[in-house]
Amino acid sequence: MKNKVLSILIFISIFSAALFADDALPGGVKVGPIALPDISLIGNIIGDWNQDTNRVTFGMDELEMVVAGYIYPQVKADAVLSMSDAGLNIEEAYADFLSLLDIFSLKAGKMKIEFGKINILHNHVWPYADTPLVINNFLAGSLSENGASIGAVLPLPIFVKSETGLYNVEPNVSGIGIGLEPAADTLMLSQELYSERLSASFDPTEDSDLEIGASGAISKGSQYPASRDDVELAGADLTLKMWPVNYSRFLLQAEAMYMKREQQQPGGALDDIERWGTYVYAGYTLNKFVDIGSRYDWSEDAVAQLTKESKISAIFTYRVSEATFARLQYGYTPENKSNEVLLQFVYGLGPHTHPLQ
Amino acid sequence: MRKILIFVLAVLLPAAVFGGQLNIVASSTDIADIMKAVAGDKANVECLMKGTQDPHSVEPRPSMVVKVRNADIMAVVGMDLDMWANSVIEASRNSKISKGGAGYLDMSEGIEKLEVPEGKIDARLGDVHIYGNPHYQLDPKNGIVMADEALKKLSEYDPADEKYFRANHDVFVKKLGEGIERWNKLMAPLKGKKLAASHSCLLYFFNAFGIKQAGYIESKPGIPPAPSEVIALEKKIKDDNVKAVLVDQFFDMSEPEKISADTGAKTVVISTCVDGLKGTEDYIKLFDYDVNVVLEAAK
Repeated sequence: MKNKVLSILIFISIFSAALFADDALPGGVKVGPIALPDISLIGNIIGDWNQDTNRVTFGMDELEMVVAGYIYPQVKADAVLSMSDAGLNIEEAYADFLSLLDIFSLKAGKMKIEFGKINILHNHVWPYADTPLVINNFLAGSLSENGASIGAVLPLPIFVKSETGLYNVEPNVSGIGIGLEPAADTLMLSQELYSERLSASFDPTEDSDLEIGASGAISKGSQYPASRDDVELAGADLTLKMWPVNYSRFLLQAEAMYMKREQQQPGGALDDIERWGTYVYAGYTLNKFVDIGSRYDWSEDAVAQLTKESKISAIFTYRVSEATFARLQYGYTPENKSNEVLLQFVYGLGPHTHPLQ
Repeated sequence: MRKILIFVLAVLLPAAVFGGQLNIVASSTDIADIMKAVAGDKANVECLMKGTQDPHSVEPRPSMVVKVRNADIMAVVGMDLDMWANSVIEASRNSKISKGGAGYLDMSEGIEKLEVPEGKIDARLGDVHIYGNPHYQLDPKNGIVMADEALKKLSEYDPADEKYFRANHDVFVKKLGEGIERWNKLMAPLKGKKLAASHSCLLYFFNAFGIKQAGYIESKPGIPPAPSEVIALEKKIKDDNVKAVLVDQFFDMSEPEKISADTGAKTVVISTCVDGLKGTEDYIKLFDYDVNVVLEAAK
């Protein structure tokens, strides 16, 4: 309880200091609000009814504070502080060198790893309220680690981008939040993680764009260094966007992931496990305010005892403004014939913008 | 025949690529048109959006990054209207066209800005632009300011062709000046009259021709009107004998049509930018079109 109160006090102090930082500096020099970094607050409130547990939960799932700004020409700094029941966590905090030799970019610090399409995005910009099963199982919900990544947009007539990263994985800790217990069927990594994503995007028509991506990562599993535990992850993603008329958009997004894990068993024998998972989302923005969509999930778990699960979801979103919306999502799990209803409300204060998605 | 074609392409292609043409990217069709007018054939000008798109809700795309990556000059509306362009500029890794770079041109620099908010600004006021109303292209006098900014930037970037740019600039400004005189004469009967509009993006247009605004359908920008607000606007339209409700080309027509049916005021769709509607293919044609449709409706 004391830790929670302390976390809240620290959070409020940081936010207040940033907000009121235009008070006079020593010498009477005033810095107006124009000189402040961009400060945003995003609240993600989730209500959940699950037929399995027959419980209704409702509350603030996560409060995210983003402070971002330029620290030097072509160098930005971003900090994303996340607060949940588990406490205050640094979700991201990195310096971003936007243009090195006009080809490369370099990010250094703690960041969401560019593996697949949606891992790098914060979940409040996803077009659904929950995490796809494969992302939960293979990336522990969100892969965000300390390290550095170099990106390059290749000098080609279509957009082709490469992002290569080296990270230091904190063992047995989920990507976001602190003190979260990993789910039993979730892959937990340790030691270094090397990642690469190559993506290409082009416009099939003037009002559409198609992006395909391929990702790879190498790391160690949670049993290392006690015993050998090599993990290889591969992913493929596809995003198709079409804009038939003003304010309308069709979005098709799909990812497939493959995991190979080589673990040394007691007795010294090596055991290989291979796992797959995928999701496909299709959605349509009807107008400035309403999105409808549907997602299909299928994933094997990431540990030795193989189980498979799938889910079909229907999603309705009402957008009050760019950063504030209400969402109703229904999910059905065929394996145990159970239903789930999620109600999400996300609000945004301040000018939080996202990188090109 | 094929050999001749290959030979011609082999000669022309390097000339196009290496022939010293500037690559200019604009974030709006008006800016693209004015840059084209001043730069002439010394530049290849591309626009990141279409005239039929709402500039508040343009979704940045990877293909925009390819255009911006090769740009020598990036010309933006500024005043936070085209914030979406920032992520494109950052992703391009092109330092010369980033804000502060030699190739970055914020067209709002020389503009006399209207509706600059004072005091505390938050979402209670709607989707307010904190630096003022950014739709300045709808006052044709601001077209002269934009042409001046274009000339200044092009001359800085390519001083050897300054005379050429200035000559183009002077031709454009002369044509625009003649247009302003013509439109002022045509719109003179509407000076002091009241017209309603979809929202405050038309403020500069009203201001340019001395028209008083009777009210906006969206009294708070970006916020759909409450039924009571629509009733209040309809009352005002009737009381002030407002002849027309001006609506931008991407506004949802259901509310304006209802207001027209209730009040007798005509709904007029005007183009708020170049290529917004057929017949508005350049900056001067934009005002020829808009002035004409407003006059027709306000008779």
